[in-house]
Amino acid sequence: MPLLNILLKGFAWKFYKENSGLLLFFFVSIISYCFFIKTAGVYRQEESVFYHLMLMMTFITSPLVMLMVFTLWLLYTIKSWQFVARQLKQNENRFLFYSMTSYSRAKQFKAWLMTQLAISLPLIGYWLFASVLGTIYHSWLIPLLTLLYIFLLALISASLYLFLVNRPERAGTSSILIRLSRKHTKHFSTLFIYRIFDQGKLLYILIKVLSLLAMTALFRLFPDAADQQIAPLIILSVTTIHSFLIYQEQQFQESRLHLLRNLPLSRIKLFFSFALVYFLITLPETLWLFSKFPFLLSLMSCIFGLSISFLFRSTVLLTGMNVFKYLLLIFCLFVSLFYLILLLRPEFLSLICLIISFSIYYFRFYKPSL
Amino acid sequence: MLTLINFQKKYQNNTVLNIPDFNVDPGIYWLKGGNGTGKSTLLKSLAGLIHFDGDILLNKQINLKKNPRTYRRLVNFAEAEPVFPEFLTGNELVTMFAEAKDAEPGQQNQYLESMDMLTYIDQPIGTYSSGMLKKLSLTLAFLGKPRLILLDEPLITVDTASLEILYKWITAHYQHYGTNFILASHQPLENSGIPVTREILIENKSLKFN
Repeated sequence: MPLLNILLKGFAWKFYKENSGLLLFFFVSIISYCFFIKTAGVYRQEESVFYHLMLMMTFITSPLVMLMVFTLWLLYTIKSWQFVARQLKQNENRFLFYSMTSYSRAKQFKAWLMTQLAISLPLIGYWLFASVLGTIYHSWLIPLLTLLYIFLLALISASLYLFLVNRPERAGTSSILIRLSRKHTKHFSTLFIYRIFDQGKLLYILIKVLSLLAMTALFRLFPDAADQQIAPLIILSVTTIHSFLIYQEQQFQESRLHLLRNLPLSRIKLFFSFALVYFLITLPETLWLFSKFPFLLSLMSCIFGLSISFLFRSTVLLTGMNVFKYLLLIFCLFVSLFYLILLLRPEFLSLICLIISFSIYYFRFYKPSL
Repeated sequence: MLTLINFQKKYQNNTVLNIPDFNVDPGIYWLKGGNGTGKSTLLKSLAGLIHFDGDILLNKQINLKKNPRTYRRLVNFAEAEPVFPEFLTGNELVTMFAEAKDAEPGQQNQYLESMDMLTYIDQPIGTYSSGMLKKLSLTLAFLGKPRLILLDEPLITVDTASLEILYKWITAHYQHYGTNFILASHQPLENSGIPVTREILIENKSLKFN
């Protein structure tokens, strides 16, 4: 089916490509949790199968764990909705509005359903594994409910996509911030902030919620940890959660402000102008940090966060607009910095990050990505 | 052939087009208007791409809002500056359009051949030049059994030889199948050999025949 082929290539496989970093992050986090934190890092080779089995058995027998997994899957599906909706707004997919809409609604629905099932492959894989264990241990109910749940999510998703692609595009209204600021001259470095409030409000709110969850969880999980280490760790997590926004800022510059390279602005000015964007975006987290930690430590942590954000931003100049490479590199940086925080002082780390990020920016800004 | 009833298109609070009632008889129409007068907006509305107030009827019966699928199957569209996913091949797009628009099996071959596109149709679209992309977009607009084809700036970025072929396609479709056309173009059509029925002017946010 030619339509399904196009939807799979343009949406399902692209979804994996764009979210591979995140999926890898979750996968490594779960594995780390199950095998290193839960077992305090002490387990023998032969015990690994036991722990794996224990985890799966808990899933197929415990309704509470099932609900937790279902909630995670719902979040995953919502993320896929956001992705598809965003893709449908791209110019390159505009042709779908005057081609696939000629198919019968049943054909369109079927194609979207198959696409969503392809996006849900990790869920289906998990269900298959649980079903095999369910067959062996005669525990059928939860695997059956899981299958129904996966189909329910896919049906809802297909209906949503069908609605989106058959609805004529409506003219959007500018956000309040854009309307209020219309008479004011805007500095080039703040343009991305306006863009967030114009087109990226939902993403911003989601990132803020994630950020708040991470901050609260870390703060509560390690109440006895030395403040010197937990504050930079919180900032590292917050900045990593913001890494997608940092990528978008660069993407915005590349796609909409390409002429920036034509302006007579020094690289130093261009580099440090991002500090204002980062400061405004992370203002809620900064205020939270100052309310929980001593002034000097909070200030140092904020500077550390800024230097990490500079480093993440410069990373884009190495990877280009390849989100997979970028997220992979961010993940590596996150793990490295996580361990370096335990060994080095944040002031020293900030300086290292700043030097590396500025060097990359200085030498790569006018050059094509590697 | 085409009827607009209380058609209104606004961007935020700015009315771009306000056409109380307008009827277009069968034929080939040259849509004219300066930059920013709303030519592309009108064509996108007629193609069912963007929302508008009012109604659009094909052959006085098929309402774009009430019979969206039937309408879209009979009205084809080619954009002024087409953009398609770079990772798809031209062939994948053509096959999908042909199926969606209920084209006769192999209908696309004559178009691909006459526009000399067979050599690159299996290559990813990312490798296409703007002219190749434009020819692909024009080919897609002729697939199926359209009653109306909307072409937004069909003459830009296409080489002279291909333009001659496009003129022949338009004329032949009109004469053999009675397909109607609305061509929005800044380039002159007088010497193209296309039997233009009338000119439609966009003036003061409305339409009038020239």
